[in-house]
Parts: sequence; structure tokens; C-alpha cells
Amino acid sequence: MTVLDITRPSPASAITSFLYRVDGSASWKVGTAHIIASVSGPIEVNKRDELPDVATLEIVVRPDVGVTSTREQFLQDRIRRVVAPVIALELHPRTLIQIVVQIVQSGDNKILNTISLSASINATYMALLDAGVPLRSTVSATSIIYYTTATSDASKTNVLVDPTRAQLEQIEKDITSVHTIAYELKGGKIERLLLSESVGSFTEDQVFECYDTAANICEETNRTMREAITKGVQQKSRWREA
Amino acid sequence: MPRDLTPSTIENTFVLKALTERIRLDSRSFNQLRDLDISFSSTDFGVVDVKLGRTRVIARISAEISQPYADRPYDGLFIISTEISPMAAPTFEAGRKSEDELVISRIIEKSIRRSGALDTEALCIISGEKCWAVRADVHFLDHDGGLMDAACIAVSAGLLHFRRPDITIVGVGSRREVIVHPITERVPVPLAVLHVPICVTFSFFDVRKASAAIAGLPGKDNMKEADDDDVEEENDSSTTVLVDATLQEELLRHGYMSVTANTNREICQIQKGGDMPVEVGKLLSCAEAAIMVAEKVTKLINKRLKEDEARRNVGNLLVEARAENDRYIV
Repeated sequence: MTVLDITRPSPASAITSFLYRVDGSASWKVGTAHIIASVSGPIEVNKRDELPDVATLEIVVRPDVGVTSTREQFLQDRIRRVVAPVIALELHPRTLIQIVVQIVQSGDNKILNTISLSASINATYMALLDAGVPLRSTVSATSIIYYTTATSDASKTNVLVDPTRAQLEQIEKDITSVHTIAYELKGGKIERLLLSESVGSFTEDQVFECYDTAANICEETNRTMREAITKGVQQKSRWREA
Repeated sequence: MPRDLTPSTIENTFVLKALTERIRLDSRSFNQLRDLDISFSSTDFGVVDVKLGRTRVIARISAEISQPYADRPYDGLFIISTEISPMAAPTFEAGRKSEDELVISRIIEKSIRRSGALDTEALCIISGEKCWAVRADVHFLDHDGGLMDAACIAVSAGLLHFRRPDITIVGVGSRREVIVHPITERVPVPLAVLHVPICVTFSFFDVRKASAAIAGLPGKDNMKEADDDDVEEENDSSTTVLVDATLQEELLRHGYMSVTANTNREICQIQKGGDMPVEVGKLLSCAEAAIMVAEKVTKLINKRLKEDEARRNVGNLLVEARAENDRYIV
């Protein structure tokens, strides 16, 4: 029997439309993670990358520290799997939609990628919205970490959602499994699961528990995104009131 | 995808004509810097966000233990990475170095690494075996001209802000061990920064070429006489010098010179590019102006560093914990 102890740090914060050279930009801060995503598109594409019936999607992930490694390739692949089905690529054939994700502070430790991944997905989605790229639905992602603490009688399984790096460092040796979950939402409610990346040893019950927890968190994240977008649009439309 | 950044002919003639009338499009004076904003992360050391007008750059300083080069056993390592991603502008391709990028990385190398801003000898732990490898990663977020100026400021500020973990060497001879103390155990240690290099870029415009470009425009005015309150000491109106050009001005300039200076009135590096000859007197007054800018910017960096320290240091605990003497960078 797992005794759940879900601790959730302060909610995420987002800003949009702060970069001038790209069509859309978003900054997503959660815990100690800080990711900036930019979107340019639809823009002109190289002849060799051109696709006749859909837009070409280019995703570049840049690390906070060090040279680009396989970790960035992994993040790029997972972000693409989440985002590609959501963008209406067939509306802009023979063009390019270029997404750049700059990790400013990863929020992960050396082994994990989960927080960078979920924060990058959220930042990318908000940047796509800011750029006005046609999208089919809303996306939000979250990171859930299971870890054990040995108490005098039994070991308790705890759950941390979107932890800060300090919290991660505290529980580092006791982490049993790490889950990155992304949902598609319509009307603020969960519709479909877009990504389920789980690493570690866990039971089937734990995974389903994860999906339920993530569903609630993702709906909350969706509300945060909504507020940020509303603020952004109000800012951009202030000339109307003048 | 390389989208062409070249401005249209109309933009071209408009900007140049404005210059002949001593007007800059953002109504700055010819030797005025754009608004500079420097902010540090409240959670991590060595994360600096620099905004120079619309140009935005983030620098991240990090350190890890590594082995020194065989021919330099007493020096640590210091690497600066200035890769530009398509976020700065869609004309930059991911993974391919553009010409601009090569120029920027060379100037940053000369300004910061080769000028010895960071004392690499202080990074040595066990000579020939272990040393600190400091890394400065510059992320270009928004390109509106002055990328190297902003990058230089960001790295310099980052080096001053960064704290590396404290270490202890235990044991003797071949059984020596280095213990790295986590930040929670021991107060982290600042880097040995010997001077603070600040890069300033001057853009040159040949007024005669500019006038030729706008000749033939319908209804052109008489061109005003250049009144000298700027960098030009001699009453020479054929060269206009702009400090801290925006992207538009950068694309239209006929030549440029980047000068890196510090508050010790030392010139760390000079790079002159473009194919426009400029009189020596003018270049010397540019260098003088660079020193004044370096003083102003260094003052701002120190101010922000103090504010950041006050924010982190609620209760003055860190000050109590320090055993070193105060350092003064004027």
C-alpha cells in the first residue's frame, strides 16, 4: 500500500511576446526551471526540406550549459511527438515552422530530463499560441516523481510534482520512478494523453495514479496558461482603448 | 532558414538621409548607448540577463573539475561558447556558423580570454592533475545589433556574479583527494576576476557615400553643416560615427570598430572591419569614448551585483561567513 504524499511547489508562471525578431515567444518558469521558447512561422523553407503537402517542423533545443548533446536530441524528439499532431501542418504546405527551445535553467539534476521536458513542452505550446500558428487543441505537461522514504516501520512512497532542484537534490538517492506526462485539453478539460514517458521501477497502479494526478495538474497548468495569454492579448490590444 | 536581412532601398535612403541631418531613428545622440539592463538570477549564481535596447543576451557561467593541459599544468581552463541559434533571428541557421558568429566569437575571445580577465592560475587545484574548468555559455535571444557588446557585458558580469564550490585537498602525495563542498555546507567562492572588459562598437558612415545614395531624391534639402559635439574633434564632416548601432544601422554601416576597454583605462582589444578608411584621430577619440562607456557600464554592473547580494543576503549571514578582505573594483 502506498501512502501518497503529494507536495506541489509554487505554480508556474509564464510571459509571452517579449522577443522582437521571431513571430512568437514564451518564457515558462516552474520550480527552478526556466525555459524560453521561440516560434517563427510559417516562413520560407529550404528547397531540400520542403514538403509538398504539409509544413516542415524544425525544433532546435539548446542546453543551458555545455555543448549540445544527445540529451537535447532526446528532448527535441519528445517535444516533436507532442507538438506535431497538435499543429495543423496541412494548412501551410511548403513552408517552415521553426521552434527554438532555449533552456536557461534546466531544473533537472545530471541524470533526469523530466523537468526540462515538461517545461519545454509548455513553453513551446505558449510560443506557438503567441505566434498564431494554427493549432488543433491545448497542450500541457507535467513531471511527477516517485520516491521512497524509509520510516521506522515501513517505507512510504511519496510523490513530488514539478519539484525544484533543491527538492530533487534532497530526495536524489531515493527516487524510484520519474514520469513526464502531457495531455491534450479541450475546453479546459483533459481529452487525450499525448505523452507518457516513464523511467524507473514502478507498478501498474502507480502509473494510472500518475495519469490521474497529472490530469489535475495539467488542468491547473492550462488555467495558468490561459491567464498569461489573456494578459498578453490585453497588452497587445491596448491601442484599442486609446 | 536564411531569410534575407538586407533592408529595402527606401529604408536605406531614409536612414542615411536622417544621418546627414544628424538624426538617428530612435532619436538618440550619436554617442549615446541604448538603455542597458542587467539582471541576475535569484536562484543560481552566474546567470546574467542583459538587455541592450532590444538586443537580449543571457550568459551562464559554470565550473567543473577537469584536467589541465599538459603544457600548462598550473593553469585552469576557461572556455567561452557563443553559438547563435535561430531564436536571435531566423537568418541564423542551427548548427552552422555564420560569418557574424565567427567575428563575434573572435572578439569575445580576445576581449575576455586573451586579455586575462579571469585569472586561470587561480583555477589550479593540484598542478598537472586537477583544475577548475570554467565555462561561459552565451545564449543570444534577440538580435537588434550590438550582439558582441551585450555578450561581453554579460560574460563579464557573469564572471563577477558566479560562485564556485569551495574545495579542500586532503592527504599527501599520490593519495591526495579533493573534497568538493556543496553550497549548503560551505559558502561558495568567487572567481579571481582581474579586470572587467567592456566592449563598445562604433559604426562608421561615409557621408559622401550616403549623400550620393540619396542624390536624385525629389525635393532634397540643403544638407546642414555638421556641428561637432560628438566624437569627431576635427571639423571633418565626411565620417559619421555612431555608438551602439541597432540592427538597422549595423546593416547599413560602411565600416565598424569594436573596442574593448576596462576601468583601468586599458584597451583590451581593437577590431576594425568593413572597408571604410577612417582617420587615426577619429579612431583615437573612439577609444577614449570606449573607456568612458566601460566606466559607466562597470559602475552599473557593480550596482546590480550589490543589489543582488542584498537580496540573497537577508540577515547578512553570508557577510558574517566570509573570511576574505573586501575587494574593490572601482
